Amino acid sequence: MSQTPMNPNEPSQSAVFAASDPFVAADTPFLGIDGFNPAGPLPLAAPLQQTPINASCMDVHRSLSVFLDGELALPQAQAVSQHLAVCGSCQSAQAFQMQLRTTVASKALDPMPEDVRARITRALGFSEDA
Amino acid sequence: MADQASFAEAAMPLMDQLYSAALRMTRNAADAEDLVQETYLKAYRGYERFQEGTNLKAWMYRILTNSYINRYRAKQRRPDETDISDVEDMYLYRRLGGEQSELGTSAEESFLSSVTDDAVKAAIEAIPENFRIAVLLADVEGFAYKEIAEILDVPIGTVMSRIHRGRKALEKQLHDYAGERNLLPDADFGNEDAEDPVVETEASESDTSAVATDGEVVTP
Repeated sequence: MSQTPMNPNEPSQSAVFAASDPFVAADTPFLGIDGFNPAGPLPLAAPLQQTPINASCMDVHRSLSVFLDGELALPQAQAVSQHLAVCGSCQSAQAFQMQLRTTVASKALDPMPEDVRARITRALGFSEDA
Repeated sequence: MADQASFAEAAMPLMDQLYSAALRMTRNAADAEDLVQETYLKAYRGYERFQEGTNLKAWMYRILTNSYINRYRAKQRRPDETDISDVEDMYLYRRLGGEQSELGTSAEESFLSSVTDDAVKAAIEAIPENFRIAVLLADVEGFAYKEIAEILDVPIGTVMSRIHRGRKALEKQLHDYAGERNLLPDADFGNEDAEDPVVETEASESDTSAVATDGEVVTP
């Protein structure tokens, strides 16, 4: 996978992710990683809704965990997707995080010992060959 | 009337998953076996109250988690268990040299292929309890945030915070494992743990009787 370095000239946080952005209404909650609202659309101010949202590498790093959970609110998820489509560095990070999850999920499994399974089945009054 | 056949058909295939989660919670095989048995007996007794068509797996995990908290948490709790280091995003990836790598992901791939089941289990079990349960439910069991919020009976913002911080704690544990096995690249600056001096405490979680009391609500 090709690597592209983080662009040092890009702002550390793009408008939709920053609490201090002038286009965001004053009562808009902080939109960093601890402030996402997956339950519904974000209360963005009108000017921002008409402006294409750009996500920086730092935005993606902060959001990736929630994005991969499929729980990032739509405007931010779209911005992250668009950034990932063109940024090799963030694609690598995304690939690693996905592989890490697969690794964790697949290596933390323990089968119930058969004698205990049989004990529980008996305790429930079920037939053991059910 | 509880339908024995339908309970057996739906619930018994979940036993390995529930046992794995119970082992990560109790960190002890005998306690995990008892916890799963208690979960099945409670679930079967309460099965007629279970709403057909809703999520049986989430319901079983709710019983498992509540049983664990009520029965085991107080006795296992240690005073320092709520401390958790606040490490940066993508801690493991950065420490494995992911951002410096010119040719892709050799160090990262080599780490992921060499990490053992025992290392992953130990890393999960080392996460402080509330964060550990949230990470387990999300990353091992695959529940959505809303389901985890219902299982743990906490606000969704609390779920997000616990998963986020728990995952970083997990990455730090895995990084420590990699360091012990010399799996880190030369350029790694991974032993600079002094860079992570911030220790946050879920202050209100000193209440051992419930998980729903903390104040981490971050969404409106």
